[in-house]
Amino acid sequence: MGSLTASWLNEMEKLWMRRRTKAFLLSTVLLPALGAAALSSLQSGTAIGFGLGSDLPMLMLGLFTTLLLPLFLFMAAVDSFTGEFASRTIKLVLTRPISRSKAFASKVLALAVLIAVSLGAVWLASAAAELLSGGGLTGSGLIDGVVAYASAFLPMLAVALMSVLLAQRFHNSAGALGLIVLVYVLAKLLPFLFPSAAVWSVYSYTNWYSLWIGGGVPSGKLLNTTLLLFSYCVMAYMGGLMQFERKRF
Amino acid sequence: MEAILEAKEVSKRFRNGRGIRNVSFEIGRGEIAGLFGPNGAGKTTLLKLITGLIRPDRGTIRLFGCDIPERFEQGMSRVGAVIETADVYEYMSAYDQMKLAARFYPGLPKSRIDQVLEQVGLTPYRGEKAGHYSLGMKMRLALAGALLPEPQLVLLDEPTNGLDIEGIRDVRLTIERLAAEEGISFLISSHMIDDMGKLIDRLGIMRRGEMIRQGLRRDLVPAGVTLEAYYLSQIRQTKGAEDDGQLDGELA
Repeated sequence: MGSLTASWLNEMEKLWMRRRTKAFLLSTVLLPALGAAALSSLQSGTAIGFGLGSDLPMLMLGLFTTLLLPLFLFMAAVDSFTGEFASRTIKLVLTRPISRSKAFASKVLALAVLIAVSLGAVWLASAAAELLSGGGLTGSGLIDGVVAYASAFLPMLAVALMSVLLAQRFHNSAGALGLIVLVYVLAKLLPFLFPSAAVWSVYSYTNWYSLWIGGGVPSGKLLNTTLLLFSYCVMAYMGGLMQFERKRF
Repeated sequence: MEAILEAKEVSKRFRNGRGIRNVSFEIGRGEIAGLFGPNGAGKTTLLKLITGLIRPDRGTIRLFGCDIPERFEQGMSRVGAVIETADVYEYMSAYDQMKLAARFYPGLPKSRIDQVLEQVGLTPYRGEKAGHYSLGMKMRLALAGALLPEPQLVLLDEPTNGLDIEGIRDVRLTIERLAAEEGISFLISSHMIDDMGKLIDRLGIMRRGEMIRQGLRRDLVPAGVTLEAYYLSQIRQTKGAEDDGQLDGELA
């Protein structure tokens, strides 16, 4: 087993051993179930029969990508970096036969897997909840769901990498988390305050998946946004890596 | 002598002006080397430079002939280290922590984890979360982590800090046994010369970021003189020379 793989497995195991990871993954299953129950009681109570339940995967995706998943990623990034700097357990990794660049990559990879697993779990749970609550899953709905959930990966990765970049500046978890949340909240207010500047904010694309479904958006615009998000990912990764490489422990 | 660790004219200066200057030091295979000096002498800095936790401003460091940090992975593959404090993942059991560490060493037998936990006396507590351990138990766990890869060189920074008399004796006996039975080399940094002095056959004395004396114990310490007495005489001598220099400067 190479040192990168070894460290990546370790980082995933460390994330998994934290209670909040288990609680979050549990929420990815429970919230769609609760959402489905709430929607069906709403439909039966108000006799609205136009199939709100068929939007459950999209409703859940909106909830998770705007609020829950970013918040969880902030905490996971802070745990992986600032938390390990503060508790000095980072030395347990760096005094093993692994280069700093690989140690950094393994932590980022673990976060990327966490995003993929979370999105996959939310999609499966909401699709299952929809089926069980009597909503019908059509073939096109299924494809739209897969496309939307898959396309949500890139903006979530960009959000995670920005958190990783910011987390490098701190040796105190509370300070790092506070700053990352503050930046996110301010960035979310940006479209209301400076709409033209919001286009350049990486946090403006958390609901980017909605552009991918329905086929109403020109492919040129999708390509531009993909490149923009990809560039943010590369810049945040390189910026984070440079700081991590130079850090003394 | 085949040097497994070589540090040549290594310098590192921090923003506060402290650090180490032109430090050279080496360890041969099978030796137990002691790095002594008062608090703030630069011992931990030197160990951090050797393990790549800090990058030097100048100088070269080689582990088993591999330049650090250029060939860090190869160099560190035969090294175990406990630097500055006994850091452990508080939310994990001793066994789980060893399992994580073992992934970095392909080919390590599974039984090795049980073996090192037995060596440091943590077998009865292997499933307990390290957050519940005493300071001494954390140090033993850190030591187990350093010994896990069947290293040829172990770097220990203040390994007896916070330990009670029994704990200090246990650490000393473990080091003694591993050096004798498995031929492991040790570099032990300490400001408490009594704890480790009995073991060492090579020593380096640091003061204010400089290596003021280094070499084999038998070449440096005269017969009939204890290591403690030798250490104190060297520290006083250097301090005296500095004071004289300062006085000369003031008189001039």
